[in-house]
Amino acid sequence: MTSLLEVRDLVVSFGKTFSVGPVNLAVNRGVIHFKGPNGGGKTTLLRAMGGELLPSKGSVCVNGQNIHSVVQARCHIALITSTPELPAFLTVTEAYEFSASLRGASGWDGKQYCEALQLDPKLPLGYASAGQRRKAELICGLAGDPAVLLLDETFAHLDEPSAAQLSQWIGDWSSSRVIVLAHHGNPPVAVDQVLDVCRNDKSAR
Amino acid sequence: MGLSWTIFVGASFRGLASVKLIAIGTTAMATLIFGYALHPGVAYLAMFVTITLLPFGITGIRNQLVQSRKISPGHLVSAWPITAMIRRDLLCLWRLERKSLLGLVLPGVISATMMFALRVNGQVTGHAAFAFSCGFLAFAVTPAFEILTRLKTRLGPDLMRQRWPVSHGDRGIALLCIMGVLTGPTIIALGALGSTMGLAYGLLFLLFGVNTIVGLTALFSRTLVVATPMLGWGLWFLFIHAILAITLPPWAYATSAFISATFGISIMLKGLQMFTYETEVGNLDQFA
Repeated sequence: MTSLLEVRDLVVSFGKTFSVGPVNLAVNRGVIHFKGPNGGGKTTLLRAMGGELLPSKGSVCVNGQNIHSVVQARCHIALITSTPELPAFLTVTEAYEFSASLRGASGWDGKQYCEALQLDPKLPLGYASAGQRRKAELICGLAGDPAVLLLDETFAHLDEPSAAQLSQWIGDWSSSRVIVLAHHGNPPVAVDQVLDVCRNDKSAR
Repeated sequence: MGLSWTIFVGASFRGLASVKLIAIGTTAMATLIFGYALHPGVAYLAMFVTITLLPFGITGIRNQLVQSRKISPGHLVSAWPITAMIRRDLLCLWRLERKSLLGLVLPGVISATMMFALRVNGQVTGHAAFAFSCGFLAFAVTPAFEILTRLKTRLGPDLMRQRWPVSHGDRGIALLCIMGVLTGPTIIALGALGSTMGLAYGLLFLLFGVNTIVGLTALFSRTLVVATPMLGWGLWFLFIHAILAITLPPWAYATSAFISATFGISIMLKGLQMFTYETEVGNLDQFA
């Protein structure tokens, strides 16, 4: 039986000096915490798992489909990065409509998430604060209800009520989805599995 | 030239005012071209109208550009990722590059007017009409390549992200459609106004238009990973393409157009692959 998220011998390396992994995972639901120091390779691993970086070795499969070779498999996995990526000329609504349409979920509505996070759906992202952009990125990641969520330092920049709301959501989602958190400290949610991530720095040896 | 400003102003207004102004400008231009065929003295009338309208036109455009800064909601809900990308990119151009879009309308209007004048007063037909249409099209769509490079500057890596659930083919089709939206009105206008070229040359002109769209998009995709916008490539492509279409025998041009369009699509896909690889992997690799 295939797992919802299956990571096999995942290694990402840049040049000859830096590499992270190998990582092995096979999970159907729950919260996984990628723990490690700054620069340890947590974000790099998440980016490879989200389909953004091509791994040097190994594979990442969602529902048995390799996300690096099967385009449609990427509809079921969302990477919410720690750096703002959404174009400034869009409003919050347009941004999540676009993300949902890319995932083939044009009927998806993000209004409830905007209300819960107290974010104006008509707010142009160019005028948004760091926290508001973070909320918008989170809602875009949720667009289309992907089964696997990769959250990179998502609690940073969020105000207390929003962080509490996100913790509650993660608790609710953990029974049916896989949530991978990259967080350098202890995340404010109950985790099912902790994975220590440390890069293999050959130049330091 | 002066009357084309009326169309410009019309295009920058909204609703009924826009329709009225465009109608007035187009009718006035058409009337003066017909009038010139009857009496050369009409040229003096055209000069008078131009001098009167030009300042009004420039002021009108400037005012409209300033007023149009407020954001009107765009709807990016779409059942297909390709249409979502097209809508998002056009919204980007509409909100951030409106001046560039106006810069595309000007040579389009001039070319269409010239073609109309040639049809009415020059009575060009057959290969001559085809040659003029190709030449005018190559001139008119020159800013389209620059507009796509501006789109890339505005979107950056968000032009296409490796993690998106879309293939390079989907992104390529979306870019072709955007280029089609930018150049399509001019192709249709020149094809219709140059319809004296006949059906066979008409089809060849259609092929010329499609090949222009594919060629410019392929060049754009190929230059995505180049830091400086290589606008000269687009100009050279348009110039050489027009020369080939005009000088080659129709069968030879049609054959070469089919081959180059296929080759162009392959170049476009390769360029997009390089872009996603460079933006997602290559940048990090530099720090290793």
